[in-house]
Amino acid sequence: MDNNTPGTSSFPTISSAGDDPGLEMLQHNDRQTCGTPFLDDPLISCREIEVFYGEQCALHKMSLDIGHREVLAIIGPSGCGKSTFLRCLNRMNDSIEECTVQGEITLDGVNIYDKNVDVVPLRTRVGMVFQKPNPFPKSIYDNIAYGPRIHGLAASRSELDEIVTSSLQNAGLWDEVKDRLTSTAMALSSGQQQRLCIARTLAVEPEVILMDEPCSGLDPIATTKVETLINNLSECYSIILVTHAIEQASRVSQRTAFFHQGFLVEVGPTARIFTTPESRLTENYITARLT
Amino acid sequence: MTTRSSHPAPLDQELISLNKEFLKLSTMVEERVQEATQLIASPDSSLIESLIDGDDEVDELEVKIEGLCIRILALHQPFATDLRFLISVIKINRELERISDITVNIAMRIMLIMRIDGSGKDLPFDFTDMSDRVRVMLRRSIDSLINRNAELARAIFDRDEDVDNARNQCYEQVTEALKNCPQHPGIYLNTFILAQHLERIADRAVNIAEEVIYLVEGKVTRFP
Repeated sequence: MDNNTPGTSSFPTISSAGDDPGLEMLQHNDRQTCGTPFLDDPLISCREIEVFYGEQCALHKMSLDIGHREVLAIIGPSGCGKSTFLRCLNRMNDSIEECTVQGEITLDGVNIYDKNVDVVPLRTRVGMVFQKPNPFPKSIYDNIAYGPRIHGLAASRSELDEIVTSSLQNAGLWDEVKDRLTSTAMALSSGQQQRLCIARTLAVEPEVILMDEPCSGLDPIATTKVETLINNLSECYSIILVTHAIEQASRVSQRTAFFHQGFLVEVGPTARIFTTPESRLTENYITARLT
Repeated sequence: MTTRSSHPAPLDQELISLNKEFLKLSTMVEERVQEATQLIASPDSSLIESLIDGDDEVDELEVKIEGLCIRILALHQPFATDLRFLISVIKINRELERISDITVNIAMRIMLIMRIDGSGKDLPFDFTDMSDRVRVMLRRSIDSLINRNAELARAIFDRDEDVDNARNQCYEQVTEALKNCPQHPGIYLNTFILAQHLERIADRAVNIAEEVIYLVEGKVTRFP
């Protein structure tokens, strides 16, 4: 890939059309991303990432670091490339035939797109929680034990029990299911199923958890539980959270990145982004004046 | 191209309503300061009464504006400019209400002076210049808010010292007058307190300017 120059990613800017910010024309100019996409000691480092679906470019030379034990929220309108970016981080895009990824993504300094990298262990290190809870049609116990069994993480039944217990505890689900571990996971509520999926991710001891709209189908109580869980998990894991709920991004993340039309427009500390964003485009999006 | 419906979004509708009420309060308070300085120049019993009674209306509007702010925060969870606007309104709302209280204090001081000397016209200090300066500071602080103009707000800081100097000058003249003519201490003391009231209005205009800078630039600024 090309030599990377920090901060040279392009993003769309807006030109004013009268006083009404809603009537602004979007333009693409070669401009630097607002904020600081780079960290001193990143866990994941993305440089000049470009993703194409056939001829169509979904991500434009995007550079962004993810730190150790931080929650990075990615916000932006539909089609801005949030999920595409997320799926690059554990090579989920590999399964899409027409999708090509260019640039460099390193995890702990190793290029995850290197031909010698095996995606199976990569995906245990970089786990993923999806928008819709997707428990296996098995018991609660077997859902959690599935990954450790496949990856040979438990030498005995007691070790497996321990992994299942600790995963459910860390996902904040243990007290609700400890008396029915052999019951089917499909009988759990949506919120419980989502936390079960998080527990299933934790069971294979990841370093990074990717979350793609994990609360979109949940009620406020279940959402609060998942958000509390994200907060607790950030003590041990790096979490990248894609969300349409900007209030959720403001509540749970330390840094926020705003994507628009495949560009990284702005990234920075969440408190700054939500009080004094640098980019007018970010301002218009978080104040719901960008349509 | 982004487009926008002809009907404002719910948050925008609430912000427009809030802005209207807030401008109403600003105008009311500015008029009250105008009347208070007019009262100092030309004592008038009916104006005293009108200033004292009119404060209730300001208090009611201040409470209404605070309620609107709380409602918008609770229902819309605004961010960025909208959030800064609401925080500024909450703080400036309080400043305006306090300025209105000060106009009541001025009216009561004039009432006391009139009780002592009848006309209340023979004060030992000429408030014309100080009153003008205070009115200009308040007017510009409100203008800077309406026009979201941080530079105009910063310019207000420079004017505060002139008002402080005027108050100090009043102190010296009152002290001198007390030495030369000690039979009217009540008039002299109340004259100095009037200068302090005006100086406090100028301080609150500075506070408003600080909030305008936060609103426009997102920087928390304190005038030393």
